[in-house]
Amino acid sequence: MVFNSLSFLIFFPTVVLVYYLIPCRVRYLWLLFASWFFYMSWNISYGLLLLFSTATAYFGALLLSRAKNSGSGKRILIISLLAEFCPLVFFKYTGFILDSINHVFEVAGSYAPFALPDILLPIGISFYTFQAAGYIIDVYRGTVEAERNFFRFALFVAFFPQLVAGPIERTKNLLSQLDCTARFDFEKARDGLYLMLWGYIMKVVIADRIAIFVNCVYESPLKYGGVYLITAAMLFSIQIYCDFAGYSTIAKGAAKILGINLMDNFNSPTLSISVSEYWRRWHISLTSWFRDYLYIPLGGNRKGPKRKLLNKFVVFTISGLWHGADWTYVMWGSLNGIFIILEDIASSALGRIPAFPGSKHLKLPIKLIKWLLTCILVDIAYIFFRAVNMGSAFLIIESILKTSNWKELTNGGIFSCGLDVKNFVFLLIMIAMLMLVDLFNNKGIRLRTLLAGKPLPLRSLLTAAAAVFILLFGIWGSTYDAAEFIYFQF
Amino acid sequence: MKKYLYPITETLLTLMIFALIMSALIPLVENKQSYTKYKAFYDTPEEYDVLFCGDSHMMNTAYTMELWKNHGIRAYNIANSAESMPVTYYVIKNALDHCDPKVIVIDTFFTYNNRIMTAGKEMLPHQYFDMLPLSKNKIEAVNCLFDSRETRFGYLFDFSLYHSRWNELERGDFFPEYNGFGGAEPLLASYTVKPPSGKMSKKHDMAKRPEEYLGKIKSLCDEKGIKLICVMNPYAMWFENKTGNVDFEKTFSKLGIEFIDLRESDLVDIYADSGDVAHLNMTGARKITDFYGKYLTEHSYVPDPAPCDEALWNKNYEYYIEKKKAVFPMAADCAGVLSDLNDPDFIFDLTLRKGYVPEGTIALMLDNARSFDNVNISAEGEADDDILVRIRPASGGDYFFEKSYRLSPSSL
Repeated sequence: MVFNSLSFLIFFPTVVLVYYLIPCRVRYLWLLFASWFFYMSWNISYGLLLLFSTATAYFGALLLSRAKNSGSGKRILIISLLAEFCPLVFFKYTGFILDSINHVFEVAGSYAPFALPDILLPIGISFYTFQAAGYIIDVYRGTVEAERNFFRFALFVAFFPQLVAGPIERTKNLLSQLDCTARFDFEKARDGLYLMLWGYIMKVVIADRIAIFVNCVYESPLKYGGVYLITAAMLFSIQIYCDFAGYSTIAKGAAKILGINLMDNFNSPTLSISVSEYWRRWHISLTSWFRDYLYIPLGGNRKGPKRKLLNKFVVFTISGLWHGADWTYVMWGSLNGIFIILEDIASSALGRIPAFPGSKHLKLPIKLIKWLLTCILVDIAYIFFRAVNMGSAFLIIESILKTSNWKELTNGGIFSCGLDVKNFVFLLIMIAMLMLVDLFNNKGIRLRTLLAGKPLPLRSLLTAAAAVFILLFGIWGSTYDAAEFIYFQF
Repeated sequence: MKKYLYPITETLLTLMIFALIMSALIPLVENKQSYTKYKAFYDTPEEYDVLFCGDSHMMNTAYTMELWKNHGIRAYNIANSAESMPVTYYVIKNALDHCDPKVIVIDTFFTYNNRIMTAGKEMLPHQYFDMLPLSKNKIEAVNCLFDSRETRFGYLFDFSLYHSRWNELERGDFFPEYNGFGGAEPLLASYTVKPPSGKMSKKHDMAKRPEEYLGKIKSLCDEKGIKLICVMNPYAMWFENKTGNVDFEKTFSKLGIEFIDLRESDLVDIYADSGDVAHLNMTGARKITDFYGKYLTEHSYVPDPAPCDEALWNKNYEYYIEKKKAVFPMAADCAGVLSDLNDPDFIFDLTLRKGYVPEGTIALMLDNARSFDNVNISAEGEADDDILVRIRPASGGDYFFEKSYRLSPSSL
C-alpha cells in the first residue's frame, strides 16, 4: 500500500477516525494493528521480519538495561546489533557479496563459484532496522530507558507513516510521544493535511512527471545524445528529492493528523552552496544517524584532520551502500565523500587568504557560483546512483562530455521522451515553484502557516483547489505506469 | 458544541468546494467519444423501440435516423468497435436499465472470437461505459469483463484515466456535441474489393464463449419480451475471414434465434459500397438500413409503436442533416465523397471534364448513381480537373460543398 494509492486513501481516514473514537489508553494498540496491516499489505510474510527486528531490539535493550552495572553490556550490545542487522545483510547484501566474489573469480580467469540467489528485498527493511539499532545503542549509552511495554515498542518500530521510507526516528522523539495520546486538535490536523497535500504535489505531480523523462533516457542512454543525458541528470536530482522528500512530508503530515510530530527529514537541500551543506539538509534522519552512531564512534574530528577526512569518507561510502546493494551506490557515496573532503581542504586553504577590498560586493556572485558548482557535483554523483551499472554510468559521463546535439533543445527533440511541450513547460513551472517554496522555508516562512491565518472561505477554497490540482496534474491512474517510491528499494 | 462548529464548517465547506470543482472538471477532461455517441440515447431512452447492437459492422451500418424518416421506426445504434459477445451482452443489459425496446438486432461478426476482450483493445469499451451511469449492472459488467484492478477502476471512475488529458483539451471538450447519427458512425470512404478467391466452407461450430453469451442475451430478451434478431452484415473480405468457416445457422437454430446472413446478398454492390475491408460505406449502409426498415415492418416486429415526440425527432433529423454536411470535407478523396451518392437529403451535381473516362470504383459509383434522382452528372466540364463535385441540400439552398478532383490512377 503506497501513499499514492486508492487503498491508502481508504485506509488512512479509517485509521484516523477509529483512532480518535476509541479510548486513549488503547489507541497505541490500534495504531500498531494498523501499522502491521499496512506493512503486511505488501507481503504477509514480511510481518515476521518486522517482528524479528522488533523482538531483537526489545529483548536486547531489556538485557542491556539489566546489565547496566555489569561488564557484559558491550557483549550484549554487539550480539543484539549483529542479530538486528542479520536480516538486512541477508536480504539486501547476499546477492551483492556473492556477485562481487564471482566477479573477482571471473577477472582472475576462473569460473564464478556461486549461483546468485533470487532474494526479494523486503520493503523498508533498511529504515526500521536502523531505527531499532539506534534504539539499542541509545539504551546502551543510557540516553533512553528500555521500553517495558512490548506493544508500545513494536509501534515505535512499525509506526506506519514512517515505516517504509523514513524519517528514521530517534527513540527520544517518537517513543515518548506514543505514551501520551493527545485529544484531536483541529489546527494540528489541518496543518498535517497541508503537509500531506504538499507532499503529494512533490511526489505525484513533480517527481513522477520527471520519472517519465528520466526513465526514458536512462533505459537506453546510448540512443540519446549528451543534451538528453544532461537534462536527465539535472532532472533526476530533483526527481529523487521530490520523491523522497514528498514521501517524508506525507509521512510527517499523516503523523501530525494522528497528533504525533516526526522530525524534519529535508531542509531545502536544493539551495545548498556546498556538498557538505547539501548533506546537512538532505535525508537529515539518516545523516544524523550516521553522525551519531558511526562517525562519532569512529573518532569524528577528535583524532586529527587526516583521521577526520578518512572518517568522513568511510561514513559516506557506507551511506552509499545503505542506499543500495550495488557498486554504483558505493561509488555514489564515495564520490560525495571525496567532494566533501576536497571542500574541507579547499575551504581551509581559502580561509588563509586575506579578504581583499570590495570582496563583500562579490558575495552574491560567489554564492551563485558555489550553488551552481554544488548542483553540478551532486548531479554527477547521481549519475552513478541512477545508472543500471558502473559501465553505463561511465558511458553516460563520456557521452555528456562529448555533447554536440545542442540543437535538440530548440528543435523539439527533447519533447520526444514522454513529456510533450505542455508537460515540459508545466514541469519547469513546478520546479520554479518548488525552489520558491524552499526559499521561503529557508527564510523561516512557512506557507502553510500563512494559509492557516487566512479567512475560512479562502482557506477552504485553496485546500480544495490543491486537492483538485493533485488529482488533475498528478501522474496516477490507468495511464500511469505506477512508479513505486524510489526509496522503497533501499 | 461551539468548539466543534468551526472545524465542522471548515471541513464541510472544503469538501463542498472540492465536490463542486470536481463535478465540473470530470466531464470536462473526459474523452467525448462516449458523450458524442450516447448523449442522445440517455437523454430520451424511452423513445426507442429498436436497438442495433454488436461491433463496428453494425455501428457503420444501421443509420437509425433514416430508419425513422423512411420507415417510422424509432431506433438507436448502440454498437461499438471490436465488441465481443460478452461485451455486447453487458451493453444490452445496461441499456435495458434505461429503455424498453421491442426488438434488438445484433451483428454477430465477433462471434468468431472466443476471448472476452481482444488483446490490446481493453480501452475500446470506454466508448460505451463512460457515458453509462454508475449502477449495479455497470459494476457487474466491469468486474466480469476486466481482470486488472487498475483497468476496472478506470472504467468505474474514468477520471483516473482521463485526468492526463488536461494538455489536449479542445473547444469540443468545453462545448461537446452529440454525433446526430443516432449512434451510427458514417464511413465516407471507398474500398476496392478483390473478387473472392474461394467459397464459404463452414468447417466448425461457433466458439464456446460467444455461444454462451448469445444464450444469455436470448434469455435476457425472452425475460423482457424483446424480439432478438442476429445478423451478419455484408463486408468486403468475409470470405477470407474467420467468419467464413463458422456454421452460424447450426448455433442460431439451436438457440432459437432468428438469423439473417447478408454476406452474400445482392442488397449491396460490395465492389462499390465498401468503405474499407470490413465495413460498408454510407451508400452501402443506407441500403442495408433500408432493408432493416422493410424487414421489421413486413414482419410487424414493431406493430404498435408508442406515440413519439414528433417535434423532437424532426429536430434531431435536422441536426442529423447538419452533421452529415460536416462529414464531406473529411473524406480523404473523390471516391470517399461519392460514397454518399444515394443520400436523398442532398443533391449532387457532378461535372466531369470533357473527354474524361472514369475508371475503377469511380466508374462503378457513377454507373450506380445514374438511377439516383438526386445525382446530376454532366460531362461538359471545361476545367483541368477530372471531376467537380458540388453538393447542396435537397430542401433548397446553396452549395455547402464544392471541390474538384484530378484523379490519378492510384485514386481510382
